[in-house]
Amino acid sequence: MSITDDAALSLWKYSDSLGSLPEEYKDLPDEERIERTREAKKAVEDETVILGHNYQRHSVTRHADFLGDSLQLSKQAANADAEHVIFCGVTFMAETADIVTDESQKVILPSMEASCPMAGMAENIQVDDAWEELTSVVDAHDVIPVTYVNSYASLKAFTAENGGSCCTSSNAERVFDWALDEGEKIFFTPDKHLAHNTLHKLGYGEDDYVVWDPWEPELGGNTPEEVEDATFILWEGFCQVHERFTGDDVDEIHEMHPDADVIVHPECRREVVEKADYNGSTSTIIETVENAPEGSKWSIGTEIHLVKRLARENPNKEIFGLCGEECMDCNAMRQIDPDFLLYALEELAEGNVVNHIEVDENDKRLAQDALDRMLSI
Amino acid sequence: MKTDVLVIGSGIAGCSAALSASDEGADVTLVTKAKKPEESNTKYAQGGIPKLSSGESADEFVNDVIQAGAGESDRDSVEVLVKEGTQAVEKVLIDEVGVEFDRDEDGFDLAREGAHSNRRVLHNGDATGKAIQKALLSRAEDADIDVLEAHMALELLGGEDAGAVKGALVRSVEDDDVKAITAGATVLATGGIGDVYGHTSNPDGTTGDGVAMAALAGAEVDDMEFVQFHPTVHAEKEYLLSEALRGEGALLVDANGERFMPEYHEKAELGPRDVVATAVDERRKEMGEVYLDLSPVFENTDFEEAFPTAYDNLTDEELESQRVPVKPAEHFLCGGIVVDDNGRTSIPCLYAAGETACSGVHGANRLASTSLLEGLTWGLRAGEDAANNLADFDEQVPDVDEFNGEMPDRFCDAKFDRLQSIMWKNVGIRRSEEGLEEAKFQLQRLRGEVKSYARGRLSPDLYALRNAVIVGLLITDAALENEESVGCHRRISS
Repeated sequence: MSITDDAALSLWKYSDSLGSLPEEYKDLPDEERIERTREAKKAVEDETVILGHNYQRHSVTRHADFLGDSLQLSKQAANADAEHVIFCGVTFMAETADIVTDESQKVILPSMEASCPMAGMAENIQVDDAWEELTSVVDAHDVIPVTYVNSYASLKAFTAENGGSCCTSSNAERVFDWALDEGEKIFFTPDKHLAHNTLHKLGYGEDDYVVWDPWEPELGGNTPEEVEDATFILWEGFCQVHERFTGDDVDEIHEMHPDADVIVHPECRREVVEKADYNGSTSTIIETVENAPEGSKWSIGTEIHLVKRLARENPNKEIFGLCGEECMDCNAMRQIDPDFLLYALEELAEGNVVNHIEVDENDKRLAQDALDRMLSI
Repeated sequence: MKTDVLVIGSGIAGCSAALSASDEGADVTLVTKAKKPEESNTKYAQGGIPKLSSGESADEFVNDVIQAGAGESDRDSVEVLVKEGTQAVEKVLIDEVGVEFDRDEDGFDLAREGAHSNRRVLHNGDATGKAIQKALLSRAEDADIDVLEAHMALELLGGEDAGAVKGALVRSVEDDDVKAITAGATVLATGGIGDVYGHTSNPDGTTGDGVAMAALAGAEVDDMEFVQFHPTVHAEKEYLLSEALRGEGALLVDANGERFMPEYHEKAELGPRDVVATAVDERRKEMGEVYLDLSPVFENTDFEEAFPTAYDNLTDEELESQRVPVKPAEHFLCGGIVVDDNGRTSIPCLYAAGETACSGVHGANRLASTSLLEGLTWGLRAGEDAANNLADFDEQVPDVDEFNGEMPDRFCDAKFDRLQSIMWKNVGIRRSEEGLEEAKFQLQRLRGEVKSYARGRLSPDLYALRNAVIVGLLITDAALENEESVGCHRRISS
């Protein structure tokens, strides 16, 4: 595995932009692009901060001022005085940054097609319909919506409107505890695996939840009794990178590398989390690996570019992915490529704000409430 | 698998290309994602196919096309359409293929359609497309053309940095079978874009696959903002009520039974499509329903005989009242993949013909019934040119791996709903800058999501969705760039 090169593309031409990147930025030689990015960044450094998510490629993160997971980055954005926040991540993260920053601050998302498909799995119309159906069978006051931050602002707004809270992979257990104090049931969107793993951590089991499939005609594919009995209602949604890891992958690593520890993200399936040696958010993964003894061996179940970065930064340890490179590559994150970053920076240097992310006023207000609630728990 | 000429699409353009390539001695493989190759837009074309009528000069027909196109058509291409098209209809469709067109005592019965200055449209009842489709396919079978139905082309091989297009990756719509078809020339004839809008006269499955695949491969695409909305599609059942009905006297009336077209255009009901479509749309918004009053047609013709399909579709109530509720719906894409008069695109070894191509004939608005003619003319030319300029490529073996095939069953339905509602609301008959910007933002978001899914999966539904979203984006971009109202593209202030 090359630790500096971006993961290789396969057949699918998913890095094409069909016109949204001006011609002149395509196919620049690496050196030129790096140089120009440094210059443009310098030209605007007084009013600009560049945030890079942990899943971003090296070719992008090398230019970032701060790296982190989505919550850490949002906090950075809130604390930053910078007029322009360039968010190298996916759309919902840029939205969150827009929500937590001041009116005067502008959030820029280098590519407008960097949309997390999991966030898109909970279409607002579907969630509204589901809520209506659900609350015709159980009392709305008993159900607390909990929404993973990997969601669009409009879903966070829905959550706030119905008395719920957001959560991250780090604070999910705490938020679940809070929710079960407030009410009897949790309606969790959009990632079923995170919820599944979290409810197990809290001591619940397989009989305590149902999965709500929005494509099923009635009650998400459940009977009224099932819904009434369930403590957790999990939306049928998942991260398709984390979904690719299987229990077999973990078994294989344990067999071939008995001295390696497997650490995975809780967006992985339950069987993977159960078999792994550790699990946690990207910041937990980073911390665990960084604090591990020299010479330790780690197989990591999360997006490949974070794995590469950890390998770069910890040359005295052996670090590799849980399965092959192509399978661990997040296409949405990949839409933020160094050409787009350069384009955004150079435009900014000329006084043009391109690819500006702005959340609708109403959604913003409510989504802020949902985030605030999470932070207060 | 290797072949000389790979044709994607089995309508009039695809079949014509396949036949003419085969006539030149090439090995031809024709793939279609439809389960039955006769399922195509061509099959559902009702009006007919025009040719020069005896006693009229080519200029008259040429001028009709150019005028309908709001002056934006390419005159040379229109002359090819009219002159060669007429020859193609006579020599190929009538003589060689043996399509049966209606006759009267004096010869062929030629109908008159909106904005044509003469009667020149050949037809077979009011189901001309069906007759043409059937005859062409039968001929293709006789010519030993390899027809691979229920197979969808997912990606073009080559293109972009690789230069020429070398064939396509196709996948069965019924099982997991995936194969790469290497071809010395590839012809895209994939038809319409109806599913991008939802309300459409097109049959299911029209997701603009050709335009999307060509654009992704780097081919030049143009005139995408010129999307025709047919003014009279049945408001509930969405079947097309042919222009020919208005040609025989049918009138448009509002909920009060009053005509309104004379206010909008001097030719009233026979005015150009975009004028009629906008008028119907506006009246519907103001007054609820708009009806097509068929009573003049009942008076002037033997309705059942002249319009058997339309007659069969009428309910008892509609037969009584002699009127049907209508609405406008997406009908035809005038733009598409840019081609020259031989159907060549901007990428070597890639051709396009029919609705998916932008040949320059339609300009900003297509003249009624000329799409079958365009498909025929460019299809024949493309097939011939392709067969005579075959490249020789090594058999392509792409790296194809399905990582995680599972998708919720009706996943794509939800995404299509979202796409269609965005398109109809913001990129429909009338477009504002604000609406278009909003559409662009939403579509980019949707595209990003779909790209993620399409990678590592080979599901045909997903690729159809991907294609539809790309077509939506191309239309939106073109509509944003063209700030003037011309032809069927209407820009309004917010």
